Amino acid sequence: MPRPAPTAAPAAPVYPFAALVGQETMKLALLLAAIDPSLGGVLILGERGTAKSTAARGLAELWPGRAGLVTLPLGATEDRVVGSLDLEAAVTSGRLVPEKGLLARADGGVLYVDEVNLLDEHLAALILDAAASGFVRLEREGVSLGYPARFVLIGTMNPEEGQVSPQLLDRFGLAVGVRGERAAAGRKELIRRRLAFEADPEGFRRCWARPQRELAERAARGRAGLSQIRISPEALALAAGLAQEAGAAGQRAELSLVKAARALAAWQGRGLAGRADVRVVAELALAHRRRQLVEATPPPERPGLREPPLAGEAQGPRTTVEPGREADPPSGRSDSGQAWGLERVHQANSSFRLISQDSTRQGGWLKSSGRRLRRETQNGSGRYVRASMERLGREIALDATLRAAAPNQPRRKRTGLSLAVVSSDIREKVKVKATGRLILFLVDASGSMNSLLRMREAKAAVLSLLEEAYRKRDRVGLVSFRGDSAQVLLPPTNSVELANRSLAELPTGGKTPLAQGLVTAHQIVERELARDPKLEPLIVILSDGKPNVPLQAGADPWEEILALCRRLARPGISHLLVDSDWGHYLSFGLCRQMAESLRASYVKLDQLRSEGLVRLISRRAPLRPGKGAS
Amino acid sequence: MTENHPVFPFAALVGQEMMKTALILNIIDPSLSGVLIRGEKGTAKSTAVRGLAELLPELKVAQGCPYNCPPDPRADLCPECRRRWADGEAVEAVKSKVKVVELPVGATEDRVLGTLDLEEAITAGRRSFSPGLLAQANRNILYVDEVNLLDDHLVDILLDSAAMAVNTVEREGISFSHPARFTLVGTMNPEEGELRPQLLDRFGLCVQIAGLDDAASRAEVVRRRLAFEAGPESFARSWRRQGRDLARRLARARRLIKKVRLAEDILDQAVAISLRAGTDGHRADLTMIKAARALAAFEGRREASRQDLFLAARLALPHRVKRRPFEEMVFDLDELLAAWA
Repeated sequence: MPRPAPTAAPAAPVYPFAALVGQETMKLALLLAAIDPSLGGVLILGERGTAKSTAARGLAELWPGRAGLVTLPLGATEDRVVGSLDLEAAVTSGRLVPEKGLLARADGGVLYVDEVNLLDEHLAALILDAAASGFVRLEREGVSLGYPARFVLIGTMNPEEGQVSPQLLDRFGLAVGVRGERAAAGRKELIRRRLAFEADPEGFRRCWARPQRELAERAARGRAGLSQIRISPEALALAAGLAQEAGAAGQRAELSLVKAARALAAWQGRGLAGRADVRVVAELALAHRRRQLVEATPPPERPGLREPPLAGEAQGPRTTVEPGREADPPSGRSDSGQAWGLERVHQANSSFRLISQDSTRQGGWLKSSGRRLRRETQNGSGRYVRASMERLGREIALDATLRAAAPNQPRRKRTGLSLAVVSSDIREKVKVKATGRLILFLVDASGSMNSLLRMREAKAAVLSLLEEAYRKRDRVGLVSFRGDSAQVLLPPTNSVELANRSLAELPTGGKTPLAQGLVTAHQIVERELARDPKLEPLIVILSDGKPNVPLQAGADPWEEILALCRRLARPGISHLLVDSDWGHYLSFGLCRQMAESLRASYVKLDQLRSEGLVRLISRRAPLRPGKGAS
Repeated sequence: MTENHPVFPFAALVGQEMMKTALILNIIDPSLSGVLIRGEKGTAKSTAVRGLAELLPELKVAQGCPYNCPPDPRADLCPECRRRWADGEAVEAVKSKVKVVELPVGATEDRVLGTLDLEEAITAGRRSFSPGLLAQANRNILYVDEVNLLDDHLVDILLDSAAMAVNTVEREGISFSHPARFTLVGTMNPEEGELRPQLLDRFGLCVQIAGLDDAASRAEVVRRRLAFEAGPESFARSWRRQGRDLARRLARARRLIKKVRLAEDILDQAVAISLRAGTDGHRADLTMIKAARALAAFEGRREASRQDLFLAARLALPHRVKRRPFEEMVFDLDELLAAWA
C-alpha cells in the first residue's frame, strides 16, 4: 500500500498565465496581488467556463517565494485544514508530534480555494480566523500549538451557485468579475491556444516560456520597487472619498484601494501613484464591499446574473437576463366575467421577479444569490467535515479516534495489537449536507371571487421558487382544494420539468373544502418530516377563508376549521396564511382567526403585492405572526 | 469486476444514434469530458456503455497498481509508481480490459475519494490511503446512474476530479493525490430533479434519449433482446464481426484525430454558433470543435466539415444554452443551424 506523499503535487502541467486570452481586468487584479501580497488576495467571480481556475493556478508560477500555491479541496476535513497530531509518531513512539495543516503550509504563499462559496461554513470560519490573525491555532488531544499562517487567499466562485458571507468577502483585497470573451476573434484564439496546449502541454509551455519569464520579471521588478513608490496626497484623498462613498465598513477597503493603486504604479514602473491609478483599481477594491441603500433602488436583476462593473468601464446596469415580469397589479375589482361554479383553467403566469432578502439588503451581484443551507445530518449521508467527542451513534471517525488513542498508548495494555483503543477515545464523524426547505402551497381553487387571481399568484410563486430551487435545494409542492376534495397537483419536487407539466392546467371552481386541504397538506408534510426530521417545512395557504365543506358531515365548517388549526399548529412546521379576501376593509375575521389558531404568519393578498410572495418566503428569518395586518 | 458472461454487443443496439455517437466521440477524444444522457429508464443506457467498453483495446497497466497507472515512467503516475520508478524497482506491465466503474447513488464520500486504510492503521499504526472509486476509474469509464440524485458535494468532487484529472484528498489525516483521468458517463431522468447548471456545463456532451417510437424498431429491439437472453454466447458471436470492425474504426480514429485539420471558417462558425446560442463561458465552442474533430476522425477524414460541426453543436449545446425554467429553449437549434447550412 502506498504511503501518503508529503505534499499533494499534481503532475499536470499548468497553462501559462501569459497565454491567457483577454480577461485583462482579472489578469491585472492577480498581478497586483502578486506584486503586493499584503493586498489580501483576489476573488474571481464569473460564469462557468471562463478560465477562472486556469488563471488562478497560472498565477502560482509568478508568485514570489517558494511557498507557492496550496489548494484547499472542497472535500477537505478540519484536521487537514488546521492540522492535527501525527498519528504514526504518536503510535510508534508515544510522542505528540504536531502536523501542519493546509493553512500553515500556505504560510508565505497562496491559499487557493476553488468554488469558495461552496465551502463548508465551518471551514470558512477557520480560514477567516487564520487570515485575520495570520496564525493558526491547534488545540487537539492535549496539544496546544500555533503556527504562522500568513497567506494570500485566492478564490473563485460562480455567483449563480450561492453566495459568500460578507466577512469572508472582506478578506479578499480585490474582487473581479469575469465573463466569457465576447469578441469572435478572441474566442477563436482561445480555442486555438487551448487545443495547442492540450495536444502538447510541454511544447506549448516552451513556446510561452519567454513571455512568461518577462511577466515574472516585470512582477519581480514591481515588487522590488514597491517600497519606494510615493502616493500622492490627492490619490489618498480620492481613495478615502471613494471608500466612503461606497459605504464600505471599516478601513480595509481604503487600504486595499491605496495599496492596489501603488502596486499598479509599480507594475507600470512609475514612482508615483496618483489619482488615475486609484480610479483604475477602484472597482476592484470596492465593488465587493459596497453597501447599497436598501429600499431606494429596487434591484430588478435576477440575482447572481449581473456582473460587476469592471474598472474603467461605464457603470450602467448591465443585465444578462431579462427580469421576470411581475404579476399584474390588483385591479381592485373582481373579475366580473367569472361565473360561480364554472370550471376554469388558468395558464401559469410568467414567474415573479425574484427578490431575495439578501439582494435587497446588500445589493448587487455578489451577495445576491441563493444560499444553500448546510446542516448536520444524522443518517450518515453528507460530507465528513470534522470529528466530535459527542456519542450519538454516528459513524466512527477512525482517524480522530486513533489520534485520540495514540498519546495514551505507552500507558495501555496492547495485548498484541499495535494500538489499544478504549471507549473514551471514540470520535464520531460530523457530516453536513446541503439541504433545502420544503415549501408546500395550499391553494384555494374554489369558485369564490378571487380564485383566478389566487391561482395565478400561486402558480407564479411556485414557478419562481423552483427557479431558485436548484441553487438552494428547496423543494416545492402544490395542493389545491375545490369541490369536495383536495388534490396533490405537484408532489414535493425540485424538478422543473415535472412542475411545468403539472402546472400547465389548473382547474378552479366549486365549493371550498378547506379542512380537507389542510389535512392533505399536513399528510404530505408529515410524510416528508418522517424522512427528514430537521426539514422545517413551510406551508403557504392562499385562501379567502370561507370553508363550506366540513370533514364530518353536518359539522359547522368554521368551527371545525378552527379546531383543526389548533390541532395542526405545532413547532417545526411553519405556516403562512395569505388572505385573499380583500373586498371588505374591516372584515378581517375569518382568516385572521385561522392564522391565530395555526400560529401562522398572516398577510393580506394586496399587501403581498407590494412585497412579493416569493420575497416573503425567501426570508430566512422566521415569519412573524400577524405581521402586516394593518 | 471482471464479467465472464457476455455483454450485449454495442453494434447490436437498435437506434439511439445520438447516444452512440456521443459515447464514441468520447472514446476517440477523452478530453471531451464525458456524456450526460438524459431520458427515461430502460433505454439501454448502461448496456450501451458496457458494450462500448468491450470494444476498447486493453490497457497496459503497472502490475499491482490500484490506480491503473501505465507502466511508463514519463506518464502521470501515482506516488507509489513514482517511487517504484525512482527506486529502480521492476515494474511489470499487465493487460487489463477497460472497466466500467459504477458509482452507486448511495455511495459515501470515502468510497468515492478513498480514505484512511483501516487495517493498516490498526495493525501497523501506520497511516495509508485506501483507494476509492476514483482510483479504480483512472483510465477507465466512470458510470454514474442518476447523477442528479447524487449528493451535491459528491457531484462537486466528481466533476472537479474529472476536470483536473487528479483526485486530491485532504481528509481524515490523509494528504494524498493520484491521477484520475476517466470518461464520465452520467444518466439522469429530468423528472426526478435537475442538475445545477454549473454541473451540466462540466459534461462535454449531452444527449436526450427517448424510447423508440416506430413499431419496427421496437420489435427489433425485443427480437434481439430475446435472442441474446436465449443464447448470449451465440448472439455475441453473431455480432462479433461488426464489433471488430467498429473497434478497428475506433482505433484508427484515435490515431487520426491528431492530424485532423480545422479550417479557419470552421472555427469562425463554431464561435458564431455559440455566441448566437448565448452560452456561458468557453466550454461550448471548445467542445464543439473537439467533437467535430473527433467526428471527422471517426469518418476517416482529415478535415472537419461543416456537417461535423453541426452534429457536434447538437451534442455540445443543448445543456449549455441559457434558458430559464418554464420557458422552452430560447432559441431553436435546428433553426439556427439551418440558417448556417
